[in-house]
Amino acid sequence: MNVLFYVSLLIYYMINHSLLNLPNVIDRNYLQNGLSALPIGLLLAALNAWMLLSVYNRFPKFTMVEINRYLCGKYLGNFLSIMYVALTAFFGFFMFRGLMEVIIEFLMPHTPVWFLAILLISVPSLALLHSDNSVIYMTAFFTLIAAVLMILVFWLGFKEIDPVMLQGVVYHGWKMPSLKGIVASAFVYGGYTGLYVMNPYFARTSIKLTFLLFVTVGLFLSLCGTVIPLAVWGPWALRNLNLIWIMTAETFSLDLFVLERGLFLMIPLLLITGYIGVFLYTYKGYRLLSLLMPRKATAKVIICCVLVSYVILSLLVQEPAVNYRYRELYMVVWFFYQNITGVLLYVLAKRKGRTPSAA
Amino acid sequence: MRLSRTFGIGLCCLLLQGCQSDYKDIDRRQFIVMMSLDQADNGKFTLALKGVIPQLQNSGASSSTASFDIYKTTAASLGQAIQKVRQQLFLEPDYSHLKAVIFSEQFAERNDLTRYIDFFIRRRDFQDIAIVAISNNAEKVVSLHQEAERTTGDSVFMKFGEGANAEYNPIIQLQQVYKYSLTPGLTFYCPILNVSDDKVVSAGTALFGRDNRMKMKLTLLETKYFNLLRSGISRGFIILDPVKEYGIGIRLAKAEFRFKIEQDALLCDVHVKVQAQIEDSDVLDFSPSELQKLAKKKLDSDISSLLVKMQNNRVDPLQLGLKYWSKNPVRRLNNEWLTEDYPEMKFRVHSDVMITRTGTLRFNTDRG
Amino acid sequence: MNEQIHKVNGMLETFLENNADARKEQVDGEQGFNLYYIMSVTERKVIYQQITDPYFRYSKTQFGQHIQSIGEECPPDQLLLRLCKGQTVLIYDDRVYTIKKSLKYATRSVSTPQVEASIVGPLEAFVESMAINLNLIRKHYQNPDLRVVKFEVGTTSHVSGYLLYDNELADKTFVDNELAQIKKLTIPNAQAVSKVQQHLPKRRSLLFPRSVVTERPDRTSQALSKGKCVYLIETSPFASIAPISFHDFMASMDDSYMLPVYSYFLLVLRYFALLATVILPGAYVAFTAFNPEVFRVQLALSIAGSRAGLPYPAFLEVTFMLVMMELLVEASLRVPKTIGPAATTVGGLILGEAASQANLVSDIMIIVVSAVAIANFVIPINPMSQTVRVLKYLLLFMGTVAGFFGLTIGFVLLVGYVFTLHNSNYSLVQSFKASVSLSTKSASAGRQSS
Repeated sequence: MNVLFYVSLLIYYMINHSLLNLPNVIDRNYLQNGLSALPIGLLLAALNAWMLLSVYNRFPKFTMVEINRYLCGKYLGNFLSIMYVALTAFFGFFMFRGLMEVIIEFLMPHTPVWFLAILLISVPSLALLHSDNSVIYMTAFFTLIAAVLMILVFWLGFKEIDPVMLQGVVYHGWKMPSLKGIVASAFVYGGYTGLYVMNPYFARTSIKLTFLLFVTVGLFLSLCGTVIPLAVWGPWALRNLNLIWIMTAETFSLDLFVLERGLFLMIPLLLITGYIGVFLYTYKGYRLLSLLMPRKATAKVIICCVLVSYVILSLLVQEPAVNYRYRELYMVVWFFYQNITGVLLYVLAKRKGRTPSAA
Repeated sequence: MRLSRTFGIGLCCLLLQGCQSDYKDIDRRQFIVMMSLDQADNGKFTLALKGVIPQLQNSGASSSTASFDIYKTTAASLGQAIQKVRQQLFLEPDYSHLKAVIFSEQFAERNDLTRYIDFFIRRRDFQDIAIVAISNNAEKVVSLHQEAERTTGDSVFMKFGEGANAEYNPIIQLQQVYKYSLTPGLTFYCPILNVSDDKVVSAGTALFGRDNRMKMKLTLLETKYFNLLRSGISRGFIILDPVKEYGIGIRLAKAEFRFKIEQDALLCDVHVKVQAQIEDSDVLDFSPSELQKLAKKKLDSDISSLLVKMQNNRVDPLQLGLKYWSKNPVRRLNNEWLTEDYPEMKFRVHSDVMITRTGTLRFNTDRG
Repeated sequence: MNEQIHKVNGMLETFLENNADARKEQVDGEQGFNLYYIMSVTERKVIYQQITDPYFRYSKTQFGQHIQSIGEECPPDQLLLRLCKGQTVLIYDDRVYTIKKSLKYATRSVSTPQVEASIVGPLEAFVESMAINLNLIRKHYQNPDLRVVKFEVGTTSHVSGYLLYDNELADKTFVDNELAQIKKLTIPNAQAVSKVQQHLPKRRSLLFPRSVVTERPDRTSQALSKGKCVYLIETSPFASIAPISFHDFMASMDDSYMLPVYSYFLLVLRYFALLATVILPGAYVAFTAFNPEVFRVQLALSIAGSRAGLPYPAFLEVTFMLVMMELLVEASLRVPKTIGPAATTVGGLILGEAASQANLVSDIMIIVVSAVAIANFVIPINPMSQTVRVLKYLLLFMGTVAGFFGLTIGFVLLVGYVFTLHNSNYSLVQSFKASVSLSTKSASAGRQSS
């Protein structure tokens, strides 16, 4: 049963990032960098996942905070944990602002932004009421909805694909990848970072299963997420478009109950993945902080401050391009953090494993 | 207690937003379903919008029987025109159901259409899947009231596959125009719709050059072959005798393009596959194999003359450039295709007609 | 010793004076053998057969033993309470005994279920009698591991209740926890088992029921066999089951009796109904007033046509119609059975025909509201059905304030809130088959110990 929840967590990350993040980086730079970042990203993510999972499986009852403390000592360990919390908070903001962009543009163009921001912040603040297992259940529930919507959207996408363009895109896609592209495609597989908090629930996570999901679902989703917009719009027109998947869904005409525009299947999908994304990042930050801090209340106060700053910042940062630029930069930082800690923990765990005291 | 306090604060916040909101009841919106752009004097254009008057649930509320209203204005830019037309409206205009944009021929010949298409793509409230069409009198198409219309405006937007499935209408949407005009080496096409006898009638195809201005027109017959080459058709008719106009019905027709370099020149092999059936009894004098030969000859000559005609005008609405690019990993797609490679290209048409059915209700014995 | 009897006698005499239905019977004046009982809750026959008759037939020692066996000695402070519970107080040989057997409550016989109908299930329902209810449960659950714990609730009404569980299957910590909670209960008066259940958790839940209330012995038996606890109250013809998962609210007993494909079809239908009844009113406002571009053009135009000329905005229209519908439901529930049909007919006529004729509501709105009402009744467990009746107003509010965006926010918040609900360490949405390791307590306890 727990395996199912782990799978849903991984798949949630894949859906979220292969629709919201990846196309922005890969598709816009397709003419320069092509698609070759996708397999490279998969390989790097798999390497990182293997290292981290083998460390986390060694300590089945520990969360990230305890593992870092145990392996790296009090100061370095806590520093690494706090840095991860900070990274989480930043990415929470990028998702928050990205979601706001969609809402302002497509749903509520005339309503004041501060009002939308306050309404939207109510979702991540719900995280303060939750506990680990309810978060797991909730993620699984919404992943199910998102997966159904996504299959619908992809299916419509396949119908709308221009086969000539698809062939051309695949033929011409193999060029030198850029660092940002690789990082973005590795980011898609980041669901295993959920273990930082949930390790006691999932522990003894199967590495084989993780890899299997990476290669099947993950690769499929990241390919579909990037190739369908390219094949529908063509790489040239896509360079000028923001919100790539929304614009792609806008080209789908369908005949489903009361709907005739594919856009309105895409927007609920985007909203749901976005809400749960912000929610999960906030929860992760909150949970790690409450493990780090001596008192739980301190963590609550800090998270509340972070959420308030989301609202204020999202009023200040009005230009979506700025958001995208910083998000791409952020992913590079995340990637280096992830790989460095991965190698560090793996080496330290091997060493400590040899000494009898760590049994 | 804590819960109720949070709830109270939340409620106050929600009420604070006051009147500045997107709330606008559906009966206070004027739905625009069609738009036309006609060339006017001194560089301006005439915009005409077709606003729907919905059928009321109680006839007592209003005595009007009209199903739509036309709003017209003249301006030099689309943004200005959309603003100006609001003077005539008493309800909030809602463009989210704009299903067709119709340009007049003169307008399309003189203006770069992309400038206008870009406007629709940029605005969130326009559908990107609205149909684009050309007409000799665009305003007339928009202001036409066709008796049999179920929903106002469906005489135009149902014509492209949602309702009728005809061989004469090459469908193109706003997003496709946008995409083709931005991709180098491609040109696009538009269906032509004219009004005759109070009906919207298909009248061929308009082809656009690389400068996104209308360059040439295809007749109805050419439109049929154009559709066959572009996407294949599932219904249609090939006329074999110009006088008696008998022929064979098409059940399914597809075309395939293959590129080769032969004697230092680019050669395009066009393979046309047609599954046909006998419909007219005028053809009973022929055996199916004779008919197949006749049809093949007819198709070969008609299609090659169409291809050459388009080539001579340097328009590539069949996107041969894209097709060539997609199969050639080393090739780059650029505008030189239209000026250098495409005019030099040779065509070779092979058509293959199969008469699959000679009629279920009666046999047609093969005499050959 | 005599002092105490004297005091007791005085107490009983005062009670007799104050209660017209209390009786004193002097069996043998010389020996000081007196009986006290309340006529309305005791069986005279039992008193005659068990006490008076043996007294004259048995020898004194025999009778002494007999009294020892059927009665119990009673401390004076419990005396009046026991008297009120239908026991006979007997003063014999300078001692005070109470005899339980004489209790007699008026009750009805077992009848068919009124609230939870079933097509192929057993047609027995609980009644307001513990003897019959326990009889029914024992009949449906013949297992030596069944434990029946008696407790008393109500600091003023003193109603007795029972907690039943299967000793092998139930989660011990949960049962212990519940028993401890029951001891701490301080509600003055509890007549229904659902009220008792409400007050059991540490924080009383405001919106979502924490237990399934059922009148069907077969559902009770099924719950016992899944390791759940069952509560019964003397005065209530319902049993309440805890801990539960959300899915229990959507399951009808027929699901397990019917063929699998059919019952899965029904389940899907019920969840669809739940979704529809909660979301539709909000969605109507969100889509017609904020985002009519979602609809296909034909639908948008027909809604616009049906709303044309209405005097008020869409959200008032929906609220108005919903309130009318709620009134209709409430009226047909509360009016005497004889005029019930009349009320619904009049209401249905007004709401359906006349309101749209008078251009007060649109035709499509009427369809939406009736769909909402019908879908609401599909939910098999009544407390959940009532909760859902309220929930749709929350989403209606969110849809009015922020359109489709508000609707999705409301939905996510609602679902998120439901997911946080716990009963002890069982989550409301937890599938009961899940390993218990997913409950919050055990996992975090494991973390601390390592």
